[in-house]
Amino acid sequence: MSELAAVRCRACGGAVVARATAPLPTCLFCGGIASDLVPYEPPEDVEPPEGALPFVCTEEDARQAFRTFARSSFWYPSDLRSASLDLRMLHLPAWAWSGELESHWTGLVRASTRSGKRPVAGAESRHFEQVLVPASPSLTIAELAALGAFDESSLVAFHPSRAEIPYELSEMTRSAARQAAQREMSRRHRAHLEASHALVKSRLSSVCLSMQGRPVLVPVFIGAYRYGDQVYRVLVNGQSGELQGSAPISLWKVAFAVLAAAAALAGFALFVLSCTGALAALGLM
Amino acid sequence: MELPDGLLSTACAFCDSPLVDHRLEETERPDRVVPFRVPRARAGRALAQFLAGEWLAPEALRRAIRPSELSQVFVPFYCYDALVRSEFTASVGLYWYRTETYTTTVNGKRVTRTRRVRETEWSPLSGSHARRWFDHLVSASTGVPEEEANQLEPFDLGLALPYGPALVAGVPAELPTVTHEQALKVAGEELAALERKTIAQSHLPGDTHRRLQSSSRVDVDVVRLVLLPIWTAVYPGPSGPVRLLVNGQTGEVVGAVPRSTWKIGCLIATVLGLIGGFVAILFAGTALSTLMVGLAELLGAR
Repeated sequence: MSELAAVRCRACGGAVVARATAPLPTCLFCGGIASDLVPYEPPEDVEPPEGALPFVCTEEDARQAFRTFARSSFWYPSDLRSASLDLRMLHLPAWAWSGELESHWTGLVRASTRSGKRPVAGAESRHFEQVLVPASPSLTIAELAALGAFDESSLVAFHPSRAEIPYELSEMTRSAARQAAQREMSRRHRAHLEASHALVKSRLSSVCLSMQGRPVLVPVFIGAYRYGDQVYRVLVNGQSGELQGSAPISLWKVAFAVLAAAAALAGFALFVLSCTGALAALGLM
Repeated sequence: MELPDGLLSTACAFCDSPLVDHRLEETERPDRVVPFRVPRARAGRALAQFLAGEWLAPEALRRAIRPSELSQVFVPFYCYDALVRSEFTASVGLYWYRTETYTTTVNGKRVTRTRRVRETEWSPLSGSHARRWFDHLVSASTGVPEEEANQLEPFDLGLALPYGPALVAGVPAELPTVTHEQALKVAGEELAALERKTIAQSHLPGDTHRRLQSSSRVDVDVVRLVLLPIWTAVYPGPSGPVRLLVNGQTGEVVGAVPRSTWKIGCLIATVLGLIGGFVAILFAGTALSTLMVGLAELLGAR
């Protein structure tokens, strides 16, 4: 088994670890050229991944997801479906946290009072298992959130020395990850409390107890395709097959739609005028 | 060589070389140090600006651009991380609106109109709140009372460095003169007050509230002894020296500045004079109009 090599893209800053025998031809994040990928020494205070979620989807599933995506909007160009998609497997860094959340809440419920509401309060503890928070420096939280949920229960141990799939290096420290996890647990607990107590409005103060976290990897397919002279990026959840990405808008279709709308408007105007007899009066009919 | 009592470090009075008491370091070793970020010149400017804004202070003090003494000192603070759980009861108010009809006169005619009137409906609520507080500071120096210390805050403890003798060498660093027990009591009271404020501001539901009562249980996780950078300045005042403090990290100035009784007297005299003048004008106006009316009646009678 060959050595692992960490490289960082000088253009976008994305850092990836891959087998030295299978070097990356381009930057996976920005499509930057290979000469921009320079050797990289990860900072010492960032912990290496200890667990990983396995891939469930095959590459063919991911391609199928792209074809569905290309058909999903009328405005995308028709030949998008046949665009050649450069697709690669990639493990993205995340943190998995387990712990107990003790939430003290207040809120309002609907009631037959003058104001139509009544204040309520309570406290509830809830155990959370393997809550994932993204730790990828090159992808936005919104991009990862759009990928949908990963199955946190399928977490298996991961040894960097046995990594077959390239993985991105995290830059998130334990304390930052812990804070992000607490925010995510609070968000989930609030949603649960609002639903179970039928709260109209809620306020939550919570503290985490016995939190345990470890850096892990989540599976995605990262794809880039060229349309015209632009490169577009798509991400496919390696477990659920959910796709997130951007696509060009067909200028022809937009122009045609504008013309069609203008024609329809003109036709309608003519119709109204003919009904009122204005055209006849003008001697046109 | 012995250091003066109550100091962990200082500069040698003869050769200005830095001194640190290594025996004291073993018993009262601070955990973290926040280094100085405000140099002497900036501290002086901050003080001059602060005094210029105090326009009720005695003029002699306001004009004293340079303090007779400006020295830097590391002041010890206890820094607490604590889990606070609170129980509260309150009366929560929810607004509702009723429509009211009323009559008014428009252009000499009486008309009936309606308006929306806001009412508040009160319901009792009891509940709980919990929060982990980090880096809560309590002064460990009797020289900087807690009240003054609170005004000097905040200090950014993210910029604190682990204690090393090199960090304090050459600058006097005080040893704690407030005991752990005393400081812990103060921390508990302050955290309970902060909890109450948090409950009032961001935890109670509804539109308004009254009769909030809360009791808190404070579980301290970590206590650290930190040294914070402070400039102390002494000005000669008319009735004794005036001491001001400058936050050595932010440049914030704190201190009780005496008020000039002469200036306050003048201010009161001015206000009274203005009120008196206004009343006199009112009276004169009334008298004049009465006179005019009387005169007009007199002329009319003829």
